[in-house]
Amino acid sequence: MSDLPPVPTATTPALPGASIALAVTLGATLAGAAGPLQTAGLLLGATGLGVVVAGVVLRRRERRVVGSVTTLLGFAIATASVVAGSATAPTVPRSITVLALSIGPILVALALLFLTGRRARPVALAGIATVFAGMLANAVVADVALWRGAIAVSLACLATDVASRSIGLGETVGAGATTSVEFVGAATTAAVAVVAAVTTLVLARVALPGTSLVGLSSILLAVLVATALLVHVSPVQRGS
Amino acid sequence: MSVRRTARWNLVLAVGVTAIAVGVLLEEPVLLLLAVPSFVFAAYSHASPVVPQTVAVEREVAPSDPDHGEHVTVSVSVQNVGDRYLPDVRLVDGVPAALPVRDGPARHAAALAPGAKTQFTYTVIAKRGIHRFDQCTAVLGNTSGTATVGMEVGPETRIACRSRVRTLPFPPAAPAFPGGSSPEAGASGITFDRLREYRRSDSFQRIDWNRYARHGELSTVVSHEQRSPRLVLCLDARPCAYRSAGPNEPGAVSYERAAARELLAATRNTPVAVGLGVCAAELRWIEPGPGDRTRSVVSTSLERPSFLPVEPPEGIHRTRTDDQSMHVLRQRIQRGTWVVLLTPLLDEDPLETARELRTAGHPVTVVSPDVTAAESTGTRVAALDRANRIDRLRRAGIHVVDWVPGDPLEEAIRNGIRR
Repeated sequence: MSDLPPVPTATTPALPGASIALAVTLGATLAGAAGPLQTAGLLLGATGLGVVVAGVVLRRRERRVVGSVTTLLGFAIATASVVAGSATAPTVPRSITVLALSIGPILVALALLFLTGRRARPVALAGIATVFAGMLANAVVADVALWRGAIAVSLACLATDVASRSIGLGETVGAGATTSVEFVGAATTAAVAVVAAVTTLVLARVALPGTSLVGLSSILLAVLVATALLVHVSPVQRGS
Repeated sequence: MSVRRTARWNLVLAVGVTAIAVGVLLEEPVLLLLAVPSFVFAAYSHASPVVPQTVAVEREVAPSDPDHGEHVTVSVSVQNVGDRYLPDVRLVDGVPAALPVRDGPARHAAALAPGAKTQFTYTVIAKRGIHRFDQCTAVLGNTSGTATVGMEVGPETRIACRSRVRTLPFPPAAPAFPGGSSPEAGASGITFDRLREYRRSDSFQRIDWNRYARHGELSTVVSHEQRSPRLVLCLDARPCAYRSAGPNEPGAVSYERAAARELLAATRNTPVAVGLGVCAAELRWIEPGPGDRTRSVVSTSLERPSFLPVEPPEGIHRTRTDDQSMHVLRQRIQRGTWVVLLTPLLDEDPLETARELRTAGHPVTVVSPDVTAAESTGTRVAALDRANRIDRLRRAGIHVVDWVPGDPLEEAIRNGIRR
């Protein structure tokens, strides 16, 4: 027996963890932003999503009308930031990266605040993957500083864990249960995120091999071996 | 216990590999570096060991003998009895299916340091019968969430919402056992019944020698063996009997079992030989026998799901009414046995059975838990149909105990045998 019996009455992701995951995702986008214009647009989007969270809290406290209006207002602000950010980008590639960095958190918010169980997980992960893509693209087209990129990627990895944990808790224990599991998990993974960012900066000081074919092939081979060792294949293993 | 591995960190790893691939393609060293956090997290996911199963659970139920409809508070405390930190402990309590949960989920999650304890409380609504809380189901996760261990832990707890019975559901004017004569208190062996003409096969010891001396005629004494009165509790567990008044209410079979328990308890300290018949897909039968041994067998069988399933068996179409078990029951019951037929009276078969048994000379009482509702036209029609069947049985001279489960069974029995 390795699963809890289905299902609690309310299976939306646990709100504390969902809020932390959304905040971390927004932090990742801001860390990966390039220039004040992009940062301003993303801040506006973050404000909008903060208003959305407030609206959700009000609705769950039985103030449905006020909560619904607040939620819609928040989404309107977030959508406006997406449009404004992509419209004011100086080049098409930058416009695309802004779109990715703006839409990703909106998808995460939708998944963690409005969807349940099976639908929440793929939408949340799609949102975080969009944020990843935006950050990596920004690092290339907008020449973002390495330390900002390292922090952004680490925060995005942290958001993946916190969002998955929040969704899992909602599915198994229910959205109404107040637990310490989310906070302990987030704190532990945050420590790993710090280590990851520091490791990236340390390795940046190591001279990389040049763009020779041998050097690149070595990197690829190392990556493939590491991937094979680190990937998880999830059969159920029966213990005694 | 089972260990399950998850693929939670594979997305992060995939992003890292993609970043490296794109970096190599575009000759951008910065992308290679930005893939490093992904690999650090992937390594972290493998570094987290599986947590040990060191949780202990205690459960308190108050009150343990509630009245029907009373709120019962269940407190579950969970402790980490090991010396390692448990970062992710998730529990679901084994609430009986028949008891709806109010005020709080029967689920909890916590992170527990060594020796730490957490507690959660919820409320259930008591329903008639004896209900068993199963063990808690616990899932323990490691720090990175890549491995979970599932286990059953904690005690099984019972609560008894009893409706005690002192009166057997037969009219007080009825003889204590078939034949019209009462057992002599303290008597044992053979008692005189009548004389008949002597036959060659009769034993010399049975000849009435006094009569032979007076009249010169051989005659044989026929004795009446004292027998314990025989009573059979027949429970209707056919597919069509698995109905309840609502989605969170116990079913009719659950109430039948509760009533059978109380009737069985009422026969204690009486000479009644009790048997049991369950009309399911096939007839399950325990021959009536005197004494506590048979009562114990009957009592145990009532609790066994293989003998009396309280939940409808899988794959059985619930509207089937063409079972043969009631027909077999009619043939199985010996002459003169008293029959208590426990059935929700949701179809015609129990009527036919009760009438045939009555015609065959068996005293019959029908105890019928009312699981009809009045929420829709269909349920109201079902309730009317049931009321009609009760009337028809009473007109046929059969006593019917119409029991609303929220009311005491003793009161329902007294009302039923008066009518």
